[in-house]
Amino acid sequence: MGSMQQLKKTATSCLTLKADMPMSPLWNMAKAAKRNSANDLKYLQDAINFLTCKAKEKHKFSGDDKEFLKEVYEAFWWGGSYNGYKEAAQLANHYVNGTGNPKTKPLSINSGVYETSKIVIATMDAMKKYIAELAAQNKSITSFRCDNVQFRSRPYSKKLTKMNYKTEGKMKPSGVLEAAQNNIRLHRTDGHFYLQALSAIKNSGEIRTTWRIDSLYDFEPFSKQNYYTNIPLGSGTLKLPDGLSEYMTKIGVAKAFWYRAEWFENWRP
Amino acid sequence: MDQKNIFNFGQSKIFVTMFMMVLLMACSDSGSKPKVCDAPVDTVSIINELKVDTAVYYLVHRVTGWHDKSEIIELYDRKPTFNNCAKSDIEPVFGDSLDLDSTVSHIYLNLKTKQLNIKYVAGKPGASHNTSLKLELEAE
Repeated sequence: MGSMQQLKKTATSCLTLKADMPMSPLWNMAKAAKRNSANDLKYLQDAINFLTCKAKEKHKFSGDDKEFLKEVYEAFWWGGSYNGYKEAAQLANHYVNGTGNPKTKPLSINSGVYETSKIVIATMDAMKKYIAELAAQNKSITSFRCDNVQFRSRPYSKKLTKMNYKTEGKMKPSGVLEAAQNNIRLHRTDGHFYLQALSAIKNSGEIRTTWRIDSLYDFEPFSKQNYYTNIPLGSGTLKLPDGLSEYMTKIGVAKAFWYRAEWFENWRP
Repeated sequence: MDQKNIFNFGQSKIFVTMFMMVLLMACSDSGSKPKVCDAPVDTVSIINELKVDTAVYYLVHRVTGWHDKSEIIELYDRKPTFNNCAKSDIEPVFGDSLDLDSTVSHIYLNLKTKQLNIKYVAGKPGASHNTSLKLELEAE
């Protein structure tokens, strides 16, 4: 195929999917969810399919296209808050309204969503054993992460890799922690994360540990994965490709950003 | 339209939408509500089956999560069906989340324990690798 033909093919490739952009996606989503309106769901899905094609072909996005995508994410804030996933809702909204926090200035989120999870509780317990071991040998306890090779070689950290993926969460072979499948509030906030301990010995002999989790909010591009985020609306689902969510950062609609949860503990080894 | 007017237009749109949504919620018929799923709904598919004598085992691939997804492998000893929330009508006999930093090379089924032995090789998997995995019988 000649270069002119290729150019023409690329230019017209999404025309068969061309769809009007819903001007109030929140309203259409509410109707699809509350009234089980198939027409509203199709209206939204057609728009997303059209924009997905444009993103894959790297076509120019209009102002209406961009506003629609932004409003879809703002609608997630409503839906997430309404369903009790406050942190996930906060993060989705920040994706389209935030400044793209760098790692040095992360967005602060409620640490409770991590602190109450079984995998984090078990990892804190194992990390405290390691800190106590280091302190007893007069070694530095200043800072280490749960993927630290020395920590993971200890017998008390081995059980973290054997925990139940569904009900407890587990440590993966790389040392990253995975949220339990059933812990929906945490899993929607952060699927995988590293727990860091920053510790200091106080005059009283107690240890003060700052527990910290830093994570990046971003999505996998089309080139790496075929993931979809399926939004339940009534008896149907709105299929939003993660590649399109990632592409939003390329057209100035969204910004990937770092976020942090942090809490403190005074404890005696 | 200047910046201020754009802002006002945006605000008005949000308020109008909110008002209409309140009306919609108030008018919703709770008796005809479809089952509400946890959001987002998992992406789930039966990717392979293995016939052993009269039994058939089904391998299911499940993707769960929001921006940071997990991939899960489930084993069923009967053919499962999934509802609109991606919940199966029967419980899997085995399940585990995949290590996404490595590539699955083999999935062996141990008939005695009905457990899967998942083997990995170094390197991240390609986009469609985990949806084309095959179930193999573990040598006794």
